[in-house]
Amino acid sequence: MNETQRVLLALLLVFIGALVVGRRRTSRWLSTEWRTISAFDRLHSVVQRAVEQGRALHITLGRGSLWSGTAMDSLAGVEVLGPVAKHLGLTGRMPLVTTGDATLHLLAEDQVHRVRRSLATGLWQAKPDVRWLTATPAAYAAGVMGMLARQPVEVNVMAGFFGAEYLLMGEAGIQHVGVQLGGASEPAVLPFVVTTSRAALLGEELYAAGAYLAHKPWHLGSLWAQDMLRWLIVLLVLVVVMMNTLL
Amino acid sequence: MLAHLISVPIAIGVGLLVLASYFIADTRLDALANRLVYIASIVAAFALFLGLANLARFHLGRVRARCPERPYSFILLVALASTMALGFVGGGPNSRWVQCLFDNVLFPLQAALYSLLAFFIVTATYRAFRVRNVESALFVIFAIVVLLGQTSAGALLWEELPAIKDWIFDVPVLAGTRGILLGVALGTLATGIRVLLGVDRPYVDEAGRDKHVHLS
Repeated sequence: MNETQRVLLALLLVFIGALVVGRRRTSRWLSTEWRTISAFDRLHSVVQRAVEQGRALHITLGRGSLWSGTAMDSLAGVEVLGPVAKHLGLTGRMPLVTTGDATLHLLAEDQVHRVRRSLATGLWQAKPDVRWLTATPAAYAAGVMGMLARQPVEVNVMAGFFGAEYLLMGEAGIQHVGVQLGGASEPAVLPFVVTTSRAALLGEELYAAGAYLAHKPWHLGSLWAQDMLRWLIVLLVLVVVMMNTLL
Repeated sequence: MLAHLISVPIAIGVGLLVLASYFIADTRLDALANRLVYIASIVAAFALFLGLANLARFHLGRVRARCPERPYSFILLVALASTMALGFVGGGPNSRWVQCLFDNVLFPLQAALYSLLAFFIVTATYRAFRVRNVESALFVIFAIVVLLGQTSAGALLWEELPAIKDWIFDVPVLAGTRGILLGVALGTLATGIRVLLGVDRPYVDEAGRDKHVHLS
C-alpha cells in the first residue's frame, strides 16, 4: 500500500466513524437550525405553483452515468426527484422527467414508479412520464430545449451532472418557463447555474437533498460527518502552513 | 422481499470487493474486481437497449396519436432506424457509412448548437451584471477588472490591470474553486459510502422507508 492509498484509507475510515457518530446525533440535529438553502426552501412553493397553474413540472437529471465518476451527481439528482415527485403526487400529478443517460433513466423511472405506488390508490391516475432523450450532450440539450419550448412547463428543475449544455437548457428555460431551479457540482458549470436559476444548488449543496428534503437520518448524519471532516482538513492545512512557515 | 434479500448483499459485497481491490495488492482480487466492472458495463449496455425502447415507444405513441409534434417524432424514428440499418449493413459503428453520417450530419449539428453558447453567454452576463446588492456589485467590479485585464487595452489604460487580473485568478478564484471542490469531494464521499454500506439503496423498493416528505 503506497502513501496515497494509506491516506485515502485513513480518510475513509475517519469518515465512516464520523458518519456513525453523526447518525447517532440525528435526533438532536432535527431540532437544530440549519443553514438555509434557498433552492430547497423554494421547491415547496414551486411545486404548488405548477399545480395552481395547471402546467407541468419538469425535472432533468443530467447525463451522468451510474457506472462512472458522475454517478454521485446523478444519485443526488434522484434524491431531489423523489420528494418533489411525492409532493406533486399528493395532488394526483407526476413530474415530467428527462435524462441524458440510459442507466440513470432506469433509476429515475423506478423512483417515480416507487413514489406512485406509495401514494393512495385514488392518486394513481397520474401517469409517470420519464424519458431518456439521448446519449450525446448536444442532442440531450436540444431535446430538453425543444420540450421546454413546445410543452406547457411551469417549473423547470435541473439537478445532476451537466457540462456546457446546461447553459443551452437554462436559457431555453428562462424564455419558456415560469420558474427555474438548478443544481450542479462542476465548478465550470456553476456560473451557468447561478445566471439562469431563481435559486441554485451549488457544489456540495446538491448532495444535501436527502437531508433537507426528506430528513433521512443517515443523510443528516453524513452532513455532520462532512462538516467534521471539513474542520479537520482546515486544521490540517493551518498546521502544515504554520510548520512550513516557522520551521 | 426476496429481491431485497438477494440484491442488497450482492450490491454491498460487489462494492466492497471493488473498493478492497484498490487498497490490497492482490492479482486475484484485481482480476475479480475487473471482471465485476466488466459485468457492470454489460448491464449498462442493456440499459441502453431499454432506453432505446423507451424512446421508440414514446415517439411511436406520438405518431399514432397524431400529436401536433408528430413530424418531429417521425423524423426521429426514421433517423434512428436508418442509422441502425447503416450500422448493421455497413459493418458496425466504425464503418465508412456510419462515419460519413456522423461527420456530415451529427457533428455539424452539434457544432451549430454549441455555437449558440456564445450568444447565451452574452445574455447570461447581461443578467449577471445587474447590480442589486453588495455581492453583485463586487461581482461586476471583479468582472470588469478581469475583462479589461485580458485585453491589451486594459494594459494601456493602467499597466497594473493585467497583474491585478492574475492575482484575482490566482488567489480569490483559486481559493473559491478549491473550497467548492473540497465540499464536492466530501459530498461525493458521503454519497458513495452511504451506497456502499447499504444505507442508501436506490436499487431496491423499500415501501414506506422514505415516506415522509418535508419540502417546506
